[in-house]
Amino acid sequence: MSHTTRTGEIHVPILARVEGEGALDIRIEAGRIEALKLRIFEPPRLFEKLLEGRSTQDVIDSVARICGICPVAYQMSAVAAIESILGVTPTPWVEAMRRVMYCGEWLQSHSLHIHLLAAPDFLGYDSAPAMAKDHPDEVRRGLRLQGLGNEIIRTFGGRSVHPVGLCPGGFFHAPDMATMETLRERMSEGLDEARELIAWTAGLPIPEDDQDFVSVSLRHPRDYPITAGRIVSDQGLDIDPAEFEQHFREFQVPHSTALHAQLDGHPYLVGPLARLNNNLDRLPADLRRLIDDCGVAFPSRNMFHSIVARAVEIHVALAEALRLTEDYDPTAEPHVEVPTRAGVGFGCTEAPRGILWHRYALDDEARVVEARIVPPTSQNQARMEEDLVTSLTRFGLARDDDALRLHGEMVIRNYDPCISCATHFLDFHVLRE
Amino acid sequence: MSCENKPRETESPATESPKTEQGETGAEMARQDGADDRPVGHAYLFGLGSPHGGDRLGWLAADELREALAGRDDVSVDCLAQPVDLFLHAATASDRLLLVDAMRGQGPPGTLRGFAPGELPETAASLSSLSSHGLDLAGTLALVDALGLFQGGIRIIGIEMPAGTGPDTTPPRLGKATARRLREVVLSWLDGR
Repeated sequence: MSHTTRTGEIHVPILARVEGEGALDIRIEAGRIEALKLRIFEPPRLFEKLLEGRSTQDVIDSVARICGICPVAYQMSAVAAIESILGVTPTPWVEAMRRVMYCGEWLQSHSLHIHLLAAPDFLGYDSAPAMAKDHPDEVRRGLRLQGLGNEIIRTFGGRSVHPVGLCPGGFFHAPDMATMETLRERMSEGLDEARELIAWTAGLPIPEDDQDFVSVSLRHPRDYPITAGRIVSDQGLDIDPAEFEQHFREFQVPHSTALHAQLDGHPYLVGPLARLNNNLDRLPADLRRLIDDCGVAFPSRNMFHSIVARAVEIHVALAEALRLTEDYDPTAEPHVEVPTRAGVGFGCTEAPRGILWHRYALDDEARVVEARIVPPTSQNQARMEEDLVTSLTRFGLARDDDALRLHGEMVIRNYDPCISCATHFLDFHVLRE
Repeated sequence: MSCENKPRETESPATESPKTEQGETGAEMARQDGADDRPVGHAYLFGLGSPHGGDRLGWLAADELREALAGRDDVSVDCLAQPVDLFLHAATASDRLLLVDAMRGQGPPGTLRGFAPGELPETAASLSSLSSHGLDLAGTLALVDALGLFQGGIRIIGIEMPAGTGPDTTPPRLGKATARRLREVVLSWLDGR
């Protein structure tokens, strides 16, 4: 059989180093991918329904349980929506410290992904422990940065997993000065490691794989977007988060228990690469110079440059956390009183994996009547399928099944998908006829 | 500093036993896996868990042991919410590691059982997928091994949590008998007895 006319199906039953349960099925006919399905079969978690009737504090504490690695994102989008309904404007101290806490989440999530999940792909290892034998210093750096991120979250949230420190109007408590001074010392050390990390990721043997895609992210009038901003794309979209449903459509596909999403009828990308592509001008000048010196040009059309974007965002997170805590005031009032009232509100923040949109309707007692949550991984599913078709075709469909499976897994891992958030692991099957 | 300040309560003597369900003595439980008999390097003792439910036993144990080991400069005691947080400590190849965690299915509540890394129950090992949501105990220990850390010895001590521990039940406490036995096991391990 000629490779150019190859026909068959591939099924990948288990994709490692991805959170959640799913599979990848590919049908190749006459040397072309005729069908590709990123099958998500993890049962729906129905979180929105569970929130109905809950108080605003219950919402903030409950949505943290959606995800073990981005609980802060869920809490921040929820609290933004809730405060918009209750008419609460957080104090500048609260806004700043929420941003610091969110930086902790970016730091731990990105560091884990770079060092333990993605880098082994680029360096040709099948696991992080295998890579650690040859690159112990890099892996230990990653673990230190991840631990530092956890420490930041713990400082404000009481614990790093499913934190409990956030409330409508602010935080339950303000960290004391000694805690903050110790944290700042470690963040300064981490910033040095972040500079090294950008150069290290840029020096990895990253495949050339430029593609056309639409980058969607938040955009803030002044800062690199984390906790607030308008939703923008590199194709001209510029909307308030309240207008999300008018432009973005979520829909069911038969092969996924997680909803797919499209922007004006087309797949789109959210996450670190989209954020960086859309917000280069929001980076500090010294960081821009550092990126320019590393030899990777942004905006980038190469999805594999996501690992460099994550390294850049680790630097952003640490520099921001240091800036915002420079004149830390431990005597600040950690929260303001909030009224009880009905209404509909929207919250959209930048989770490590991309924009996380929430909508809540509250009754007169500020209890949830209706909730809607659109996580980043479900938004990226259609883009992942689009990317897989392009990337695998470019990689060469004539290659053997193992090679296609490994490349497919690398493409998917590059998105750092959280299938459990979107509704966990991936199966991969190729069937050639 | 304690992981949390919670009182202890008396435990039924029935849970106190000179041997575990598996028939281990304290010295057997504390044996210096992967190392010579004589301890070298600094010892790190970490309680794994959270302040909640049955999972809190690891932190309660760390609090107990911190108090019992106060004044010793050859051991650091801490509470970890995630095993991977152990990498925050400046551990070296010659150091030793003792982890204390809550466990299920190994005997009556309060039962202590010692494990070498390779002896962890199969379910714990099979759950280690290095997923995008962090490293579990087995995954963390695989990285520890790959990085060549804690070659002075690694031991994991499990404390059986009560059955049916949940959000609506009284959180378990570290009984006096279990605490005393834990101290004996840990001192045995620290001093290489």
